[in-house]
Amino acid sequence: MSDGAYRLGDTEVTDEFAEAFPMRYARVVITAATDAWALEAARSMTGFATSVIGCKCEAAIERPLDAGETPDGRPGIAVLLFAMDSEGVGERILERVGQSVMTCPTSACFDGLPDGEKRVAVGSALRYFGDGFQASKVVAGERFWRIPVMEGEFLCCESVGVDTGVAGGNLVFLGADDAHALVAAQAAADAMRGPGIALPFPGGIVRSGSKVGSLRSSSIPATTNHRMAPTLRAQVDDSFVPDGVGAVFEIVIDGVSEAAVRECMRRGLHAAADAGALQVTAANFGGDLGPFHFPLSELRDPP
Amino acid sequence: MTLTLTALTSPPARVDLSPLVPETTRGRSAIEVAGTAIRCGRDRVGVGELFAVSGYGTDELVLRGELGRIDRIGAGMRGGRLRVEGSCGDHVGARMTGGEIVIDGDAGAFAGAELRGGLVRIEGSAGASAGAGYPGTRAGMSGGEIVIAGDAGQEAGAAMRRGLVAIGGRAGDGAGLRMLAGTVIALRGVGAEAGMGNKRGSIVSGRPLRPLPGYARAVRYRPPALALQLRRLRELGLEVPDAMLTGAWTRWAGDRLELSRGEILIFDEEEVAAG
Amino acid sequence: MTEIRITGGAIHDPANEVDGEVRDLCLRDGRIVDDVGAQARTIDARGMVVMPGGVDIHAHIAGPKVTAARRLLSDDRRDDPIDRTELLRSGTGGLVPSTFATGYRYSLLGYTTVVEAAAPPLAARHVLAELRDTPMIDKAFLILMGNNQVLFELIRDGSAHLRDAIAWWLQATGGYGVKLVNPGGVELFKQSNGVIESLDDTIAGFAVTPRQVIEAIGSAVDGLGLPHPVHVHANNLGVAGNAATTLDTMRTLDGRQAHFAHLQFHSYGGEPGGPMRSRAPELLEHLAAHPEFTVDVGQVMFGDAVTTTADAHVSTVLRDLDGGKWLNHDTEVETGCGIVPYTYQAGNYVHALQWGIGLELFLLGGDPWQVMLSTDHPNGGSFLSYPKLIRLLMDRGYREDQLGRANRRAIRRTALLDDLDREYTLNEIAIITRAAPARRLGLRDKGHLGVGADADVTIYHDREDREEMFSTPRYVIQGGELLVEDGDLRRVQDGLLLSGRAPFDPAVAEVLEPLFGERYTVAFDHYPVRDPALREPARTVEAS
Ligand SMILES: [Zn+2]
Repeated sequence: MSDGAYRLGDTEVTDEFAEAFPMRYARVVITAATDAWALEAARSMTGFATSVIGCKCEAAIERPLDAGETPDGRPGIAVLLFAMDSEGVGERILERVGQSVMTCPTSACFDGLPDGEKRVAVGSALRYFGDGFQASKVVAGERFWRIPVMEGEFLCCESVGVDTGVAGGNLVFLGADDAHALVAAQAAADAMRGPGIALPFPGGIVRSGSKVGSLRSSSIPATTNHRMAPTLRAQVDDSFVPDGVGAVFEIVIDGVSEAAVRECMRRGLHAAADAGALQVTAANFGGDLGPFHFPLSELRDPP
Repeated sequence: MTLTLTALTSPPARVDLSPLVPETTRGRSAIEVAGTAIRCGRDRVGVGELFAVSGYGTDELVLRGELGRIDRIGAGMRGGRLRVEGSCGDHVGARMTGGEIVIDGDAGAFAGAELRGGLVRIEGSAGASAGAGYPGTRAGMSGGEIVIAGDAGQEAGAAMRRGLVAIGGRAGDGAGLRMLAGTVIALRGVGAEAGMGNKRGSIVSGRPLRPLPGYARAVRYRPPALALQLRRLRELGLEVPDAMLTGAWTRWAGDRLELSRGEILIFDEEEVAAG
Repeated sequence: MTEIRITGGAIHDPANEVDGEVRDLCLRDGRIVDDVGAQARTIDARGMVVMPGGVDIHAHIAGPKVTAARRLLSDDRRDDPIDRTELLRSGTGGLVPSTFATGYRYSLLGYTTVVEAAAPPLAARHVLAELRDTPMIDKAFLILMGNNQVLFELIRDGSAHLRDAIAWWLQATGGYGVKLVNPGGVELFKQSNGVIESLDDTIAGFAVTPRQVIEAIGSAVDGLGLPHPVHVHANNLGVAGNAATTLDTMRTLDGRQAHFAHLQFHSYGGEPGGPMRSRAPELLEHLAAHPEFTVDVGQVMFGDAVTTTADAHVSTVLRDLDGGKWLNHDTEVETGCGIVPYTYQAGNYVHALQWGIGLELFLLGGDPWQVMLSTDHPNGGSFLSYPKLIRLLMDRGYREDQLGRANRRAIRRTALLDDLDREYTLNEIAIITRAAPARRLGLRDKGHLGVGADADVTIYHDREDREEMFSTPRYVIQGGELLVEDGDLRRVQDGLLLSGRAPFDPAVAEVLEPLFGERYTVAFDHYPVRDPALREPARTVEAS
């Protein structure tokens, strides 16, 4: 075991670090007549948003909101959406609010980041769906658009704030077999969700970790992380999969700040250890690409 | 101590107090403020001739005493806080762009007329033309909020283009006359001929109403934007019944003479009780 | 009476070919004199510029349309209140100031004579009453004659009484001169919402054409020898391609004296309804070949204005652009009227082109004696914007800075980017703002500083910033009295009413009376203004 490695119970924590990058993000608050409809809209809006490379954005439900926390006093969901720049955030938000929120029964859409450094259009662009019949109202200094729809009216904030967040924090969980590894990863994902955090993959977990580029073709941007694939352990020279490991899962974290990502990783690390992970490690690109480094050695203290 | 002006007597003619706002009194002593010239009828008099001045100018200014003939209190104000302990004359807060005016009693005509921004809160009732545009003005109030806990006189919000006139009691006749946009809400209902010539504004009546023939009934529904606005009214201190937040309203579109882009929303209590 | 000696100023008196000569100027009893006594008040004008008082040949300051504009612009006026003082009456300013404010503000600007360029004769009482309430300045008004149904009949019939009728009308109203506004076109608009397509269109019901009206009235005024020739606001104002109409109008008046108002609004190429172009160079060329014509420019200034015109049709067009408040009015038998608040925007193609065409008219080598300064106040901008306009003419650097802010596409359509380095001299400014207008108005006692002239003198600090210099004269003297010092009014006086007069055969009344009976709702006998309080005192300038 090298210098920074340590054990949490039976779990080995490697002397690795996660490497992360700045990304722009927005928070959208979706409300609806019931929790269920708010969840439908939020799921639809955050679907197919696992990686910025493949989906142009990364998005996930941040947390459900009580009726008392939302602008219109109805149950809601906060969604975080990340993209490379604020234009990208704007385009993706517009597509997704237009296709997944406006279309959803009883929904309304609000800005969850009123103090963001920048603003991108939502209602002010979607209003054209109203074909001239739209109207706006300014409430307490903020403009909202009323877009007439078959159900009645879709209420949508004029714009949402955009800030700089941190994307690419991660933890990698190794288990004796697929079932054990998944139990650990799920426990970690449950612990990691929370304010300021988006886990963009299905259920927060990715099983198909990738590497940049390909061993064989220069035209494929990303291919399977063969060094972490247990079935290849016996045929590649550079496998990272230790003896006794049967499956590996990863959780990728996008957060609103460096601190949010670090604390999220701390929660995940300890939850995975409690759930019996054989080993927890983290992925990076050598440290030269991303300005944010999260060494696992700093996460030893429980949350 | 907050700069406080107490009216000594009822002045011989109407007084224009607009030169005294927190912005101009900030950092000035009572003696300096007492020496400020203000208009009384066609003459100019020193503030000290009409008011006892005490305290020191900060972001807040307090007026006391018999202020019924004191007009244009806080007119054109850009920031700070002005408190009127009692009732005041006409044009209070007219054309103000920011800050807050609170009137414990009643306000005269043209309260918050052509408001640009900020908040005018009247704990009593307001005279005619609260939040209205002056004659000859096409686009009147363009922002800010006027909150009247009591009733409002005629033509509340006339010619307004943006902003909110919220009335806890009743609005008189002609509410929202020639409105371009914006919102007039009267929780205890609006008078006759509401929204005549209304272009894109919203007039909200908490009591039944038969709109002008230029309005046509559209639907009974739960307007999501109105829920937002009514919640704002609660924040502003008006008592809004829960039923209005969750219940249904009937939407009438008009004025047809202005292409029916405006609306009157009327609270439809009965079916809520039934449903 | 006051005697004043102005010492050490640089005199700019182009009418007498004095260009910056430093010498004393003496005033006594309201006139300029050779010398004054030792007890005379001395005004030290060392380092200052001395000019005759300003003369505005074309503005709108009194009468029903101005009053209507004031009523329509209550919001604009409310923002510019003027307090009463020991000396001054209260009033309101803005684009169309109240009567007193108009007098005060013209005087503060160094102007001493202003012509109200479009008064319906039927409203002469109103015009006179307002001018009497407009203090400080000397003033005159032109009466609208281009759409008068009674005159149409005389013209159609080739009546020999036309000249007498015009002279009668001046006498009946106290007017100074004759104005044509969209001759024939206003009547056509009133009848049928129609527009003039050619000067040879027939005006229904009268069997006359605009060309006949222009020619007949232009010739009659020329023949009468009135101090001011016919003052023409040509047909098709503001319409793309109207330069052709303007040139046709000029050709119709060939060889007769005429003044063309706000030429900028009549200098457009292109097709009606299509993109506008500049045809200023062509019009200037025509002017150069016709010394019998003069023009004022009618410059538009970026910012707020209000179009107040007898050309009722124009206001319906403008109203459709904006959809805001407006007003249209019919003055029976005689004319129309329209008022539309309007904003000229630097970024707007048409507005920038109008601005550019105005500057072309000033700068492309025209003779300043022929091309005078105006904004057609308040149509192209307030008279208060004259100092800024003067700076545009005198200061190339400033002009280029302003050019850079205007719509590029429009400015490229003008000659303003062709290294146009002309900068007006002080004497040229004196020509276009006083000497030429006074001469064109036939006011021999005004617009110059020769012995015997009216003691109307404006003294400016010679400042590098010409806008600042012309905004706040150091002294303004009118009729020999010091009225303004450094931006403060020191004395208030009434100013003169100037009327024009030509002899006529009183028998014309017998021709006119039955025609009046058929058309006017006012009895012939009640039509002329006789009220002495309105008519007197006046300085009458006779025909020559
Ligand atoms: Zn004019």
